Amino acid sequence: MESIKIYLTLFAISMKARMEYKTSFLFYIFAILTFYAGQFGLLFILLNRFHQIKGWSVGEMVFLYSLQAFAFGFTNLIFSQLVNFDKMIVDGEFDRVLVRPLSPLGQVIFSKFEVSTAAHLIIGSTALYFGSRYGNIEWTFYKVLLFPVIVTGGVLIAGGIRLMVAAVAFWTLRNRSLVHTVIFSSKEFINYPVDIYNVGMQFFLTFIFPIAFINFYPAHYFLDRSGTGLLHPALEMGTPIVGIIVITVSIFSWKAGVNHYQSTGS
Amino acid sequence: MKQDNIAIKVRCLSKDFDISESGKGFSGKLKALFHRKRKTLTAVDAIDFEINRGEFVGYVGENGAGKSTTIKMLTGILVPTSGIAEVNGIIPFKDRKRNAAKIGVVFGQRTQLWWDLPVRESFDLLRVIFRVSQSDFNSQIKKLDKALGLNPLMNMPVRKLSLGQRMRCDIAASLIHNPPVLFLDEPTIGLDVLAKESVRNFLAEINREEGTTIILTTHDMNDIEQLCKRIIILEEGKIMYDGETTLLKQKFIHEKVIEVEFHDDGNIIQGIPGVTVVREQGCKKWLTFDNDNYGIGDVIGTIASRYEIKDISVNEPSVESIIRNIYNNSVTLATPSEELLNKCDES
Amino acid sequence: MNPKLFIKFVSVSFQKQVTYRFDCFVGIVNGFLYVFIFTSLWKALYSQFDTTTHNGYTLTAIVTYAILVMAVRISFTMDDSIIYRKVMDGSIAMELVRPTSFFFMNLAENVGHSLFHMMARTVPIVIISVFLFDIYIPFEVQRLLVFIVSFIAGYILVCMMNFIAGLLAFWFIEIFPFLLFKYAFYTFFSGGIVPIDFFPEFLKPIVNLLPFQYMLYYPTTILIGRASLVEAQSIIIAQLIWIVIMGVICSLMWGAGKKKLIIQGG
Repeated sequence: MESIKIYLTLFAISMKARMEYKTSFLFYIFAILTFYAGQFGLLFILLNRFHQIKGWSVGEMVFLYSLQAFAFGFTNLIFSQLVNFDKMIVDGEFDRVLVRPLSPLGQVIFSKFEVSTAAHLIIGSTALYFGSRYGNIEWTFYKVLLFPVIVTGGVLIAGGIRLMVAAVAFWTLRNRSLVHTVIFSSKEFINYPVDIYNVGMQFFLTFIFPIAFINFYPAHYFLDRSGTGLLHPALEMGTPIVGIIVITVSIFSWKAGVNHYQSTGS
Repeated sequence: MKQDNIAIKVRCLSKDFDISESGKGFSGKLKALFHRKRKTLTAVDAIDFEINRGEFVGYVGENGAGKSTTIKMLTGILVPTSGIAEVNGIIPFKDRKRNAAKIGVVFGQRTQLWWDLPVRESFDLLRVIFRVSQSDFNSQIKKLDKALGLNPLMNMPVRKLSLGQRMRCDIAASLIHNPPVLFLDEPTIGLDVLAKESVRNFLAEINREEGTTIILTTHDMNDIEQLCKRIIILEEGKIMYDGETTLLKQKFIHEKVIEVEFHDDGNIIQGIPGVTVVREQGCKKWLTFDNDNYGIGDVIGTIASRYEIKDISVNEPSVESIIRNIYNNSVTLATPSEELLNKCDES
Repeated sequence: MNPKLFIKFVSVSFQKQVTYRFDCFVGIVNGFLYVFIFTSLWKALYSQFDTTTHNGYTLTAIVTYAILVMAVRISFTMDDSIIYRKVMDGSIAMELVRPTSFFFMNLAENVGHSLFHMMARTVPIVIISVFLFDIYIPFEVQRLLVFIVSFIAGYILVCMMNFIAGLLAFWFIEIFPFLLFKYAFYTFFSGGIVPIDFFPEFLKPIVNLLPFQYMLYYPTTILIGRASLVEAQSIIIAQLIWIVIMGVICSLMWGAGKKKLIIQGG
């Protein structure tokens, strides 16, 4: 469809605009890698001392991390402009979006090119390699096929959450703290196996704020682990379905937000 | 067909906003934490007007009078509370994308160009967004370049342009798809005299040559005087005046002011029928005369024949002073008849 | 700098924060999120072993540490992009014209910001944590007083760290990568998540070369009773030494930055 061509052109322009700052591009990636190295470093210190977390060995933890890194890497690529969406509303940029013959969501999504994806992919690939090796993963044909499917599901979940948080700005104008907590801080939950939390929290992270489906549940499938706690075999494969549900709900909330904006202005 | 001639049609158009009041002072703010008072503000109150193709209309009002709100409804940004709005025969909020493809919009305060990229790239991106063919695009750019002098700016990133340069590019950008209707919101704000002049000349030209219907919102009355044959004045959401700009002057001001400069300051002006001296300063005197009963030619002739004058000029009250008077309620405009007021309740 | 003026700036900055009440509520959730995650993590780790003490910490002690170090960290919340924004919009030039010390004005602004966070976030989080978790804080008046001194010293160190990072805006258009670096180093080496006691031996020399442990780890050890009052004295002396060192760096950088500003004109 011609619209897709237009959106891709928009995206290419965003990429070009971002690349204007060439030197900082590499430095930025390096900085992100350092940041994650720090996070990982702390995890290693703990694992070095305690050898495992709730039955998850170092290798398995690393693999768990790789799923998250890939999912967030691609999520950032697509949904990064939504993170700063409140600025578009406050600046009046969103009015300009409405005055163009294109979908507002499409314009917002394709208007920013996020560079950190490269860093996430590096981390993800590294973690995948070491996680596979030290986690003793036996890669079958199906597992290889399903890996990208699971990552895509994770992207839909994380992206959908970003979209919903962005939509809040239509009502509240500023959503910085919500962005900080729901989008960034919440990542911390799935840095560790979700069964370290009490049952209530596990329920929350499974059925209400389903980020556990980004890495925890699917990891069981790849690692041939039998789970404990809330684990039901079906949950292992739930990621794509949950992803579709989350993205659908989020698109509805976005549309509701646009309607609200057009009724009440800014 | 008569319908084809109407570019913009507005009937009983209204927009209400719910305002929540936050309290004043610390205790007010504390109260506001738990309970906010809600109030309805009518920004646009059942307005009617029709703009034909090729018109150049000034849409004027104090801040908060409802002009931006109207423009937002016509461009598809806001949904009306009630009433009808049609642009190019399209209902903006129902058919947002189709409407957007046939209008150009310039927001004076914000650019539509991509900040870090050369102007050329922005134009090209707009070409893609508005689905303009390469050949149409090339000829349009050539035209715009000729009129606005864009060539030296094409390769400069937008962030490096001066305000005047950026405004020229923004106006050009809004015309890439050659829209039949153009909305301009404060396009000359912050521009120096030369830049304003070139922008005004260009707007007059495209209105004349291309027949582009232009709606201009501005606080600069010189823009209105030079460009807009018709002016609509909005006050507290209602239309106070909708008619020719020249008529506005004629209708509300009965006096012109003649400024005469003499060679010396000893002259006394008296005995000229209908003429009153209102101010004196050194060699200059300001005179008013009753232009209902006396022709300006006669008055000037009489003065010139009786006195030795160095310089003489006739000052018409500006549109600005007229509108200021309207804002100050020193001049009352005819209020809409009962009939017109009740018409909107039927729809 | 005039003390009255200092207090005035603090109060202005504090009032600014009051307007963001929704952010404040979300901020409590955000802080508590981390408390929850890390206490769950420690509980899970400790449950894997029969020994109740690791690196000198019982479970109660480590949970207390995790909560209190987070409380201290939240109390140290400040806006690290203030200087960057001032440089970007040119208002930094005002600082040259004012007869006040830029550092102390910046400090005042930070104090106002942090005081609000202390009241609005730290206090609720600590109160909730006391009810939910098994923690033990020794309530000796002398200890608390010494802690407050150490806390203030740590705060000044964090301010200086952010000041130095912020000043980089004079030389670099994009300082976000630097802020990421700073954040990574701060999070890792300050003991903000894992106490220094758990760090492997080979890292300890590096930790000791850096000031970060004196920002969060050491003040917290005084509060939880891990450091004796005698040890607290040497801690505070070490903090003061670091304040001098970093103070010199701040001074040099600000001097260089001012020069650059005057020459280049922003």
